[in-house]
Formats: sequence, structure tokens, C-alpha cells
Amino acid sequence: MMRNGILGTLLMVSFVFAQQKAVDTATAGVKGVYLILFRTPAHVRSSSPEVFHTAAADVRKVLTDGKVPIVEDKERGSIENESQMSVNSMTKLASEAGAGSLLFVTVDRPTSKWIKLVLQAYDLDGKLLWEEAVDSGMSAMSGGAGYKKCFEKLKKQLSARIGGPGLPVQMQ
Amino acid sequence: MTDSGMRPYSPVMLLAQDQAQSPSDSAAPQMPKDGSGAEPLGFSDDIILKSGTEVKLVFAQSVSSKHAAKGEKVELRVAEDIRVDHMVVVPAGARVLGTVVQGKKNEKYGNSKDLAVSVDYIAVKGKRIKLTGERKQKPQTNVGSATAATIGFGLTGLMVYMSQREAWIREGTPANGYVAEDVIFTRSELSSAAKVGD
Repeated sequence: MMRNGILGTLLMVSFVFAQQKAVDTATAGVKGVYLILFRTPAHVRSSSPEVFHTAAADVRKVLTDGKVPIVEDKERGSIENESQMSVNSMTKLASEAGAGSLLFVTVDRPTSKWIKLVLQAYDLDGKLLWEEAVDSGMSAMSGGAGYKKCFEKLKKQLSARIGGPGLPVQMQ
Repeated sequence: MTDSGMRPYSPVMLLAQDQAQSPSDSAAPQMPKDGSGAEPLGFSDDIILKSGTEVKLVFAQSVSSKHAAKGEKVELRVAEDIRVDHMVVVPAGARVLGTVVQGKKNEKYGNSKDLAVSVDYIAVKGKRIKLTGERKQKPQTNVGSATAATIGFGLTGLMVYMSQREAWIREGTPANGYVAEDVIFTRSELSSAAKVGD
């Protein structure tokens, strides 16, 4: 009986180690996402840089809360600006940074809405994996309320994409 | 993208400054005619990318005086392999970083008419190869050819003075830069980089 107990314990220990190894391998194999945010001319004209950077921070928060590793650019940190770059250029940067995909976020200010975010995920070949658009809608009476509404939609729609193509999850 | 009032940069005035002659310049060896920047190797395993070696660049993003803030980083790429002694020391496609030295004052205040970009360094093989502009840039007045012409960077960057509302440079616009100081590579470093496809 004692022998069976020791055998059982040994089996349990090897099972636990095997599981741990699988998790480590899975974690080690996960390449993060490279994030670039672009502010449209319309947003520059009609909104403020603070709103843009707040949107950037909120996107990051949703990703990190969902355990999506975000790859930082070694030379620049994160790219948040108003200058246009082709998908080819952006995916090249993502690849050089060691990311497995690119998440490109456009922050816009349409005439009838307080804010609109378009999120596009690309693989490193430049193929569009998916696209989501969220906005403040037309009912919000102020920019703050509009942003809050937009953020609620962002959280819901982006969270649904986490773990899918372009947004891998880190196990640990 | 088109917009009324926007037109491609017109290098009506390109800032050019004579590079101050440093004592070492007069003693510097002549560049080989093939432009390879090679130094006689002798018994050394080192390969030296000499300062003054021309680097063909291309803008990897668009830059506009209306949207680019002073201090903002600009992405470029090396357009052609840089070779020394028939070895590729910097492959085409290597990342180059520049800085907006004249544009919007900051993120909040926009609509600058003037645009200047300095080219800073090539980020490759864990090194930063500093770059600079050419000594003199002849002003170009032909607007039609300007968009296809090579832009040379003055010492303080490319200056584009516009009489209209905005100056901009499209992604894909070619440019020239020059290696600012000697950079040493070892043959083994280059061979291993070639093997891993770096």
C-alpha cells in the first residue's frame, strides 16, 4: 500500500512538471502585439491631444487586463502620432520588434460624433485579420460622456477579440 | 491624399551649411572611387565603414508640417545595401531614425508652414550608426522633378520653405545621408549576421 502511495505521488509530481513545461512552452511561444496609434487630421482639428493619449492608454489597459503582451519598440517605445505610415512599414516595425501581429488604432473625430476608434489587426504579412469600430454614438451631450460611452463599447468589443487572431494571451 | 492648399515640397530654398573643416579631415584618406568606404585591410579582421560613406535612404512614412511636431521621430529605411570590401555591412531595408527639427511647435499648436527633418542614425545589428547630411545642397527650382528628385539633408536637416499652408514629404521619397563617424565591424560579426539572415 505504501508502495502504491509512493508510486501515486511520483506520478502526480511528474504530471505537474509536465503541465508546467507545457505552460512554459506556451508562454515562451507567445509573441506579443505591436501597437500603433494614429490621430486623424479631423481629431487634431476638433479635439485635443489629451483625448488621443487617453484613448491610447485605455486600449493598452484593455489589452493588458486581458493578458495580451504588448511589444515595445526598442528605439521609440510606443508610436502614437499624426503621421501616416503604410501597413507595410508598420508590419515591418512589428516584425523587427519581435511581435507576432500589429494592432493599428485610428482615433478620429467625425462631425456627428465625439470620438471614433477603428481597431485593425494585421499579421506580419500585412493581411487584415479583423477590424472593429467603436464610437460615442449621437446621444452623448458632452465630450466626456461621449468618450465614456465609446470606452464601454471598446472594452466589450476588444475584449471579445482577445485570445483570437492577432491578440494572443500570455498564460502567466 | 489630396487637399487644397497642399502640394509636394518645393525645395525653393534648401538650407546648406559648409561643414567646418576639422583638423582630421585634411589627413583623411581619399574615398575609394567605387564609394565602398573600404579601408585597406592589412592583417586586421575588422571592416571599417568610413565616415562620409553615402547612404541612400527612403522615407518609410509621410511627414507633414501640419502634423509633425518638433522632436517627433521619423521612420526611414536604407534603400540600398551598404558594402565595404564587397561585404554587406548594412543591408537594404535597415531601419533609420530621424527627428522633426522644424514643424509644429508641439502637439497642441499646429499648422506650421515649415518642415525640417534631420536624419539621426541607422539601427542595425545592435549598433547605432550615426548619420549626417551632405556638405552643400544646390537649390532645386523645378517643382515637377522635385518629387522624384533625391533630397539631400543639410547639416541641420532638410528644410522646406513653403509659401502655402503646408509642407510635406511622402512615404517612399528618396533621400541621401552620410555616415557621420567610422564604424567598425568584424568579419565574424558580418558572417554570423548573414547566416541568420540579419
